[in-house]
Parts: sequence; structure tokens; C-alpha cells
Amino acid sequence: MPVAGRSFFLLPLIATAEFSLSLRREGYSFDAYRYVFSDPDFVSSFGYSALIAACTIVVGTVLVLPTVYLVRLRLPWLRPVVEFIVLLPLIVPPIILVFGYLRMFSSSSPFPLTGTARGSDILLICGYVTLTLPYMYRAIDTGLQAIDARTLTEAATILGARPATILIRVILPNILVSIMAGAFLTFAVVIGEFVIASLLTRPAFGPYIQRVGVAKAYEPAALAILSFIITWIAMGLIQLMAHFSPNVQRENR
Amino acid sequence: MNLIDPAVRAGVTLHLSQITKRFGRHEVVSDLDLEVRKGEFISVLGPSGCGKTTALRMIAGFEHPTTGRILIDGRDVSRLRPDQRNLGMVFQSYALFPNMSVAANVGFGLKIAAMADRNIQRRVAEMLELVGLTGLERRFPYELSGGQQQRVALARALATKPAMLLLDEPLSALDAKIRLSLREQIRDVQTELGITTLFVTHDQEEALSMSDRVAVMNSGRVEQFGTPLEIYNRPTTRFVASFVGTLSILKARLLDPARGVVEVATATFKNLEIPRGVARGGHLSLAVRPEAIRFGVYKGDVILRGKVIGVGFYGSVIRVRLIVGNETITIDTFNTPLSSPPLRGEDVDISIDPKSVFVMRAE
Repeated sequence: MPVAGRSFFLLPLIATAEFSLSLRREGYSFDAYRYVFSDPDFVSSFGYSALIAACTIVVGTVLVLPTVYLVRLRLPWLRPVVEFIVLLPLIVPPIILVFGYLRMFSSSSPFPLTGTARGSDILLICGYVTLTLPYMYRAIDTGLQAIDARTLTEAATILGARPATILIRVILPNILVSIMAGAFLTFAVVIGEFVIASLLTRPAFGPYIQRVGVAKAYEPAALAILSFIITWIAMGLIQLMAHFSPNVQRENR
Repeated sequence: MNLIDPAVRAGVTLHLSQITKRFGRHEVVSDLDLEVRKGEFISVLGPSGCGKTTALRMIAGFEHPTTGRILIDGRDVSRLRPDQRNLGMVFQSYALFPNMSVAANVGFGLKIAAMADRNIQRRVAEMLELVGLTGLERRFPYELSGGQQQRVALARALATKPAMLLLDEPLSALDAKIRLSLREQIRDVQTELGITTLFVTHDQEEALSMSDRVAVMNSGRVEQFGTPLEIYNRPTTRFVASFVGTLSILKARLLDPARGVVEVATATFKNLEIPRGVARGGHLSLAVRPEAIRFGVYKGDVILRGKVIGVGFYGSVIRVRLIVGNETITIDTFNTPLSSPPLRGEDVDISIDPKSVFVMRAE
């Protein structure tokens, strides 16, 4: 990558990191990070977002895997429609989605989900599942393409396996790396998401970063760096899992 | 074309009756009749897109026929799911489950059938011994060569003791040497188990060398169904004649239909079997195999003279192409230490035995 390109990406990051270490006048320190970690709201908001991310991953996988599998094997003519639908979250801003939720599920509606914390959590997960649909769909679709799901399904079928067994024992283990890739992308998106969580008034990590940013100077920079590190760890894990995938090992032989 | 021999009905394992398959307006398989006896090794041979794989997939249950019936041991299975048909299948791409070891792959069908673990282990060991892979139980598919993977696929297909074995171009993805050894092994295993086998291939050498009978398909129809010798030596259609083996086609003119006299370039063939409906002076095609033509002048043969335009060396065989009149003729001759092949540009005499000539209507 040319130097200019590297600088474009790295300089703001280095500047933010440098600023996050500059809380003390006499020199660099990790005080901003220490304050962040000692803040009970940091732990609770991060824990909450991590839990919501885990739920989003589970719901997203349960929704997307059978859909993609079915479209690939039985309904290939439906593929362009599904591809269009899963791209909608990239076109329609999250704020439109969340206003739709607030209108449909307000306390005066037939389904007053926003009236309770649990209901709002469910809406938040639904919003995140929608928001991360393009990533999860693409990851799983690529995984199914790589393993030749049709032939594996036919091989298992003729050996007596029923669809649920095939999905759980043959397909799922072989696209686990792809699912994990989708899961880490989902995790990275959910951890930093602000709009939906804020408008549903959920105690998530995104609104927490925003609140800290309003009130403090150095801690938001520390939080930004922490968010980057979380995302990088997620990406690193994707690479690591892909490296140990049986399919990749076969190709490397 | 009805390919059912009434004499063999008693021993039937597979019977395809008037099978037709359409995808939208496109008819992929048309009025397919085929009867396979118990323990037979049948090849379905044809070019890409002739409908052979669709026919196999209908037998397996992955596709349903638009019309017609599929009977396995007399039971109509046309509308049954693949898992209800008790078939084993080997795929071109092996289709081994990458997340499972060799033993788990071979035992998968048995596990699904809820067989006890001890019995599964015993059966897996038997199957791996059968295909010569004992000791590789713990390996994963990516740790095996292509040939080994296909042997695991064969063991897996046979482990559940299927009524019939379906092979969908299982050797196509392998290199030439392994393909040769594996086709012998497949045939040995099939003979040992006596399992009825349907083998789909586009490779005529595989079909002719492995099979008890061969069905040659073209454009969704079976053109000829017979033993490899019948298919090669007595092709009944122009397609079979040209698709199986190499043929030189010579333009000819019918001089005397009653005595089978036909004129080709500078020579005359006599006592040929003339297709019905061709009048005196009508145009015909004479087809002749490369190995049925000899260099030199032999008594009783028809002699032609031509110019050599190409010489190919294939180890034990030398293939020579020459121009006779306006036609190209291909000749195969054994490579022996005492003989030397003709040179490019040389004029040579060739002899054709009239009995080895197929007479077809001109296209």
C-alpha cells in the first residue's frame, strides 16, 4: 500500500491513541484507560451490548442459514429477490427502521413492546438482526458455495438423512468458519451501534461512548481505541478460523 | 425404442418404463425404457447434455420423472424420496463430508439407520478393507488423495448394503493412471458383491471396458443398448457409430441395390448390406474403423490409394491420417520393431475388408 494510503488510515488512529495517553501533563499514561475500566457503566454497557450481540448472532444464524440453504437448493429462482432484500439495510438508514419500530410497537399499539425493558431488548435484537443481515447472509452464502452444499446434501440424503439432520450434522459444521466470520462482523457492528440503541433508550455500549464523549475529553479517545481493538480482534479471529478450516487446508495441499 | 428383453423380466432389479423428464419446455429425457438385470454392471454413455445424469438422478430420487415409472425390484419408486429407495451413490466430486473422518464418513448411513456403534465399527472396517483403505480410519478427507477419497465414497455408498449402486462419473475428476486402477477396482468390488450397478460416463473407454451392457444416449434418448462388443462392432445408428470409437466416413454412391454394389472414390465395394429405401444412384456413407484398414494390398479387400497427411505416435499404436480422393481416412496400425510407419506426403495403398464396413444413409 502506498505511503499516502497508509498515512490516511494510520495517522488519525495514531493521533487518537496519542491523545488517549495524554491525560497527564507531565507525560504519557494509561489513566484514561484506567478510568474507563473502573467506570461501572463501561462494564455494564459493554456486557449488555455483548449479550445483545450474542443474541443477534444466534437469531441471525437461525434465520439466515435455513433461508440461504433453501434458496440455494430448492428455490434458486428466488435468489435475486432475497439478495435485494438482504441489501436493503445498507440502503435504508437505521433511523428509519427504528422509527418504524417505535410507531408499530409503541405503548399504545397492539404490540406494546417498547413499554417494557424486555420488549425493547427484543426490538433491539430484531433491529440488529436486520442491520447485520447483509454481512451474515453474504458470509453464509459464500460458505455454502465453497462446500458444494447441494452435492453434500444429496450424498447425505441418499444415505438416509432427513433435512434437519443434514443441516445440523453436515452443513453447519462445514460452514462454521463462515458463520463465525458473519458472527464477528455482527459483533463488531453491534458493539459500536448508536442510533437504534439510543432511540430505544437501551443501556448499550454505543450510547455509553456518546455520553462519555459529551462529558469528557481523553476517555472517549481511549474508548475509540478500545473499539478498534475489539474490531481487530474480531477480524483476527475470522482469519484464524479461516486458516484452520478443512476446506482451506484441502486447497493448500 | 423398446429396450426391454421379455426373456429377462424375471430377474429384474431396475426397470425404467417410458420415462420422460421436462424442465419447462425443454425435454431432457424422452421415452426412456431400460431394464437392468440383478448383478449387472450397466453403463449409460453419452456426450454432455444427453440426459444421462438426469436419468441417474431420477433413479436416485433427486428428480422426479414428468411421465413414466421407475421400478426397483418390481416396486414403483417413482415418487419416493431418495432415502426410501435403498440406493448407494458415488458422486463425481466425491461428496465426502469434510468435517468427518474416513470412518465417520463410511459409517454415516449406518449411524442414521441407528445401528449400534460396535456394529458400525465392524461394518466400516469391512468396507475399508474391501476398498483397500484399512488403517486410514482416522484421516480426514483433505488428508487423502483424489483416488483415496473416491474409494472412501465407494465404501460409504456400499456400507448400508444398498440394493443398487449408482455411479455418477466417479472417475472424471481423477488423473489418468488412478482412473485406470480405480475402474478396475470398482469392477472387482462390484463383481465380488454382485451388486447391480448403473454407471454414468461420457468416457467410451470406461464404459466399454467395465460394463456388461452399455446404453448409448443422445438427445435424451437411448440410441442403442447392448454389450460393449455389439455397441462397437454393430452400431445401429449413425450417432452410436460415430460417438463410440473413431470412424472414417466415406461418401459413396449406390450402383446396384440387389447385389450391394457401392462406388467409393476409385474403388467399388460388393455384397454390402444396403439400408432400405435407397434407390440406384442414391448417396450413401460408408463408415470404417481405423483398425479395420491395413496398409498394403490384400486379396479380397477393396484397395484404395491415398496420400499421408499426418502420423501420430501413441505407444503401441501408430495413427495415420491420409487423404483418399476428397475424404480423410484414419488408420491405426500396431507399432512393431520390424515395421516403419509411412512418412508424411507419401502415397500408399490401403486395404479395407468389406465385411468391416458399416453402410449408412448419407446425411
